[in-house]
Amino acid sequence: MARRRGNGRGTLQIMVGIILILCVASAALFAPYLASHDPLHTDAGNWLRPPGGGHLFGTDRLGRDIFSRVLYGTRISLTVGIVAMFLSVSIGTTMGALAGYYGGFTDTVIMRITDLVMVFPSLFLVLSLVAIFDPALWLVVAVIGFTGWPGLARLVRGEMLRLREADFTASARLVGASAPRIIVLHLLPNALGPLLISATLFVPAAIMTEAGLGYFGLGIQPPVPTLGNMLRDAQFYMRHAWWYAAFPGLFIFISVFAFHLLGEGLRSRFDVRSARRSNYA
Amino acid sequence: MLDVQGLSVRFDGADGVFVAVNNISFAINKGEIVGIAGESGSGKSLTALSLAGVLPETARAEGLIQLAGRKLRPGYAKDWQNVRGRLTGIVFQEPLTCLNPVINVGTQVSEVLRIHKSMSEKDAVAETLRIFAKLGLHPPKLRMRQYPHQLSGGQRQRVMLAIALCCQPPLIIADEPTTALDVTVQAQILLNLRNYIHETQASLLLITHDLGVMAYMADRILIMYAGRVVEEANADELFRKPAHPYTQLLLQSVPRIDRPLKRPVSWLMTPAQPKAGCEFAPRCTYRRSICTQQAPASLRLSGTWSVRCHI
Amino acid sequence: MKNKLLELKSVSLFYPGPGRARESRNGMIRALDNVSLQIQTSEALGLVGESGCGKTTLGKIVAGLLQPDSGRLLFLGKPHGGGCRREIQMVFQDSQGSLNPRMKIGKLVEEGLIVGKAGKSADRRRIVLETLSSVGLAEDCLNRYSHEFSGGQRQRISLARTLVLQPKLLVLDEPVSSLDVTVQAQLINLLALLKRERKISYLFISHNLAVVRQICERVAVMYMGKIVEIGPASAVFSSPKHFYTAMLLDSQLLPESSQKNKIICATGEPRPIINGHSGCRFYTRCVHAVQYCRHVPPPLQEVGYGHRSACHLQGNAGSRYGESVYSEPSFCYNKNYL
Repeated sequence: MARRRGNGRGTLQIMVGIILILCVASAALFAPYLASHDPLHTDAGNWLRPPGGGHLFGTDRLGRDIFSRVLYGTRISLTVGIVAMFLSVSIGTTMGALAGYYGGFTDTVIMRITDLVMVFPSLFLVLSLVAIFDPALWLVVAVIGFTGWPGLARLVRGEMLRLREADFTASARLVGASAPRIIVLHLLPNALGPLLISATLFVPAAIMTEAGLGYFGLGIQPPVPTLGNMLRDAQFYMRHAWWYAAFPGLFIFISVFAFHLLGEGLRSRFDVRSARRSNYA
Repeated sequence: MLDVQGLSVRFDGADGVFVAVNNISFAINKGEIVGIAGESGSGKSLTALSLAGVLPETARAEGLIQLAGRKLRPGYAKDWQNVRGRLTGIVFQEPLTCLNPVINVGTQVSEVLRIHKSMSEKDAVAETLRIFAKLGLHPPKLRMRQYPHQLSGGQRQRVMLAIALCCQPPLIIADEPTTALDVTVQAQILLNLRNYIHETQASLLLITHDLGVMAYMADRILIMYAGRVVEEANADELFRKPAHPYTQLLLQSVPRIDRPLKRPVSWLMTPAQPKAGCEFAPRCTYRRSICTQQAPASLRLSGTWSVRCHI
Repeated sequence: MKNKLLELKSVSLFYPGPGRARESRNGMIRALDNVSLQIQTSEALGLVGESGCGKTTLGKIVAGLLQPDSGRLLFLGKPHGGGCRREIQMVFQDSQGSLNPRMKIGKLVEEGLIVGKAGKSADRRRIVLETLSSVGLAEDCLNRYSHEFSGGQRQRISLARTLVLQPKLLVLDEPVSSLDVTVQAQLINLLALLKRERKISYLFISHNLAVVRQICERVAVMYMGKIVEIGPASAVFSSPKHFYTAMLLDSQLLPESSQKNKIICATGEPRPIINGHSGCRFYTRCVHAVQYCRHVPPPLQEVGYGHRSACHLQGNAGSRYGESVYSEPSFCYNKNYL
C-alpha cells in the first residue's frame, strides 16, 4: 500500500499562518496607500491622543499617527526579517553543503568557522559596528544575516551527510555527474523540506532581533519608525497611553506568530521524522 | 485450536474503501503448522496482525475469531488484552524494533515470564536459561547478559522466539520470521521452531512469501491474492499439483538451482484491481469471459483442498 | 577468444574493528582480503555469500565508489584507479533509495547523457525512450516520480538509467532481492535478455544462489572477505569443493513437498574476523575441520577446469553436505597434515 503522508497534518496551521502573513505583508506593502497620515509628521497639539477621531491607533508623544507609523514599522520589520533570512539561508546552505559533501578538511575548517560565528555575541558586534557606522537598515540586516547562518549550516550539513550516503548519490556519481551537479540537483532538493521549515522559523527570530535592537536604540534610528524603537519611546508612557505600546507590540506579535504558525505547520506536515511510523502495512 | 470466520480488514482511504483482507476463513488444529503465502499486498501480514490483535488504528476489521474456545472480536482491544503472550506468541520480521535496546535480552525474556506466569525472579531466570539453550543461544548465560545490539541478526531473532515461546502459548504467529536472515541461519532457526512445535504440540501460523520455507515447515498452506484465499491445500498436494493458476505462477517463478526459469506469463504488470470478477483475472493465462464478470466461489476438490477459481 | 574485461589483483580493504586495537592494523576487520578475480567480456560472474561477507564492498570497489587499501584493478588491461567511469555502472538493491525522489523519471534516465554531453535534446529523448522500452516501460512514465512506481518498475528504471551509457560491465547488487517472486522472475528474464542482446558483462551480487544460477556462467563464493570457491556455475553448484558452498547449497529450500523431510546441517553464524587470525576462516563453523585447518590458511587451488577452491579437504566434501557429515575424511589423520 502506498505510504500516506500525514494527511491534513498541520494544514490549519499552514492556512492560518499564510493568511496572517498575507495580511501583514499587504499592510506593509501598501503602507503608503493605507496610512492615514505621514508617519513623520508631528502635530504638537495632538500628542498622546487615544485611538479614534481620525487617528485609528491614536497618536504618540509628538502627535504622530501611530497607525501610520506601525504600518511603516511593519514594513521595515518584514524587510529585515525576509532579507536577513535569504542572506542567512544562502550563506548557511553554501557552507553546510560544502562541509557536508566534501567532508574531511573542508568540513573541519567550515565547521570551526561556524562555531566561531555561533559563539560570537552578535550584540557586541552590533555595538561596535554602530560605533563605526551610522546604524541603518542595511547594517541591521547584515548583522542579523551574517550571524544567523550557523544553525542553518549545521542543519544542511547534517542533511548532506545523510544524503551523501544514499544510493542515488552513488548512482549519480556513477553516471558521471560532477560534484556541483550532485549537490545542486540531487542533494539540495532532498534537503529542501527541513531547510524550508528552518528558513520560515528564521524570519520571526530575525524580526524579534530587529525589534530588540530597536528597543535598545541600536537598530534603525528615529525618526524612521520601526516597531522596536516605537516600543522604546512608548515605555515611558505605558501608564497613561496604553495604545502607544500596545499597537506596535501587537504587530510584532502578529508577524512573529504568523511565521511561527507557518513554520510549525510545515514541520508537522513534512518532517518525516515526527510523522514516521504513523501507519503500518 | 484456532478458528477464523469471515475475517475482513478494511482501510478507509480518501479515495474509497480499500479492502486488504476479504472475508477469509480458516482453522488451525493443535500441533499443526499452517502457512499463509502470497506476494506483498496480498493481505497476509494484516491477517497475522489481526490474529495477534495488533491491527493499526486506521484499520477496521470484521469477523469472528475463536481461539482455544474463546471468542474474540478483531479490533476490540479489550478482547485481546489477556490473550497476547499467554495464548499467542508473536514473532515479527524485524527483531531490532521489537526489542528494547537498553535492557539486556535475558531480562526482557524473564520479565515476560514473571508477568504472565507470575514466576519468582529465580525461577524466571532459570527458565530463560533453559529456553535459550533450547533455541540455540549458546552459551545461554553469556547471551542473557547481552544487549540487542551485541547480538547478530540470527541471535536476535532467536531472542524474539524465546519471548514468544517462553509462556508456552498454544498458538504461535510468525510473520516472515527468517526473511531478513542468511539462508544458513534461516535453516537453523526454522529447525528450532519445528522441533519446538513437535515437542509441545502448539500450533504455528507461519506467514512468508518464501515457498521454500513453506515447503520445509508447513502442513497446510493458504495462498492469498489481493486479500482473498485463492487456494487452500495440504502442502503435499499443493506442491505436487497446484490447482489455482496463481499458485502455478508462483511456483514457476521461484528461481531454482536445478533448472532454468520458465518464461513468466505477464510481462507488464497490471496493478489495477478489477471491479468485478476474479482478482487474478488480468494476469491469468487461462482467463475466460466468465472470469471478468463473476467472482469465483470456493470449490472443494477434496476434504482438505479448496480452490477459488472457475477453471 | 574471450578477453579479460576487468581484473582484480589482490584487492584488500580494512574496516576499523571494535575495541582498543582499533588504530592498529592488527585490530582491523578485513572486509576484503586479497581478492583476485577476472571478469571476461559479456560474461556474468555471480558473487554469492552471506550478509557481511564483503560482496557489496567488492561491488562498490569495482564500480569505483570505494578505493581499496591495497591491490590493483585492471580494466581492459589498463590500470583503473580512482573514480567512476561510464563503462562500469551499478544497480543497487534498494530501488527506492537509488532513484532521486525529487527528479522525474525522464530526467533521471537522461542524466547520464546530459552529463556526458551526448547529442542534442531530441537525440537524447530518443535514446531515453528506446532504453525505457527495452526494459519494458512505456513513454508515459517520463514525467512521473519514482514513488509512483512499484519496486520492480523502479528497478527497471535504475537499469535504464545505466543502460543509456552503454556500459561494458554492470555491477548488480542484489537487484531482485526485495521483489516478489513473480516480479523477480520477470526481472531475471529481462537481465538475461539484456545480457544476450547487448553483450554486457555482469558482476551479479546476491545471497540467493538460485537467482545467480539463472543468469551467471561463473560463480564466486565469498566468506568473510575471501573468495573460498570460484568456477563455472555448473561445476560449483553440482559438485561444490568447499564445505561452505556445500552448506549454502544445502540450506536452500525448494518449493517441493520432499523438503519436509530434508535434514539441513547448517551450523554457526558468520562472525567478523579480526586481522591477525590465521587458518581457514570457515574453521569455526565447519563440521569437517581438523587441527590443520585452524592454523594454516588454505590457498585457492585448482580443482577442475577453471574451478578453484580454498579448502584443505578439497574433494572430500560430498556433493551433498548432509551425506558426508558423519564420515570423517580418512586423510585428516595423515601425519602430513598434523
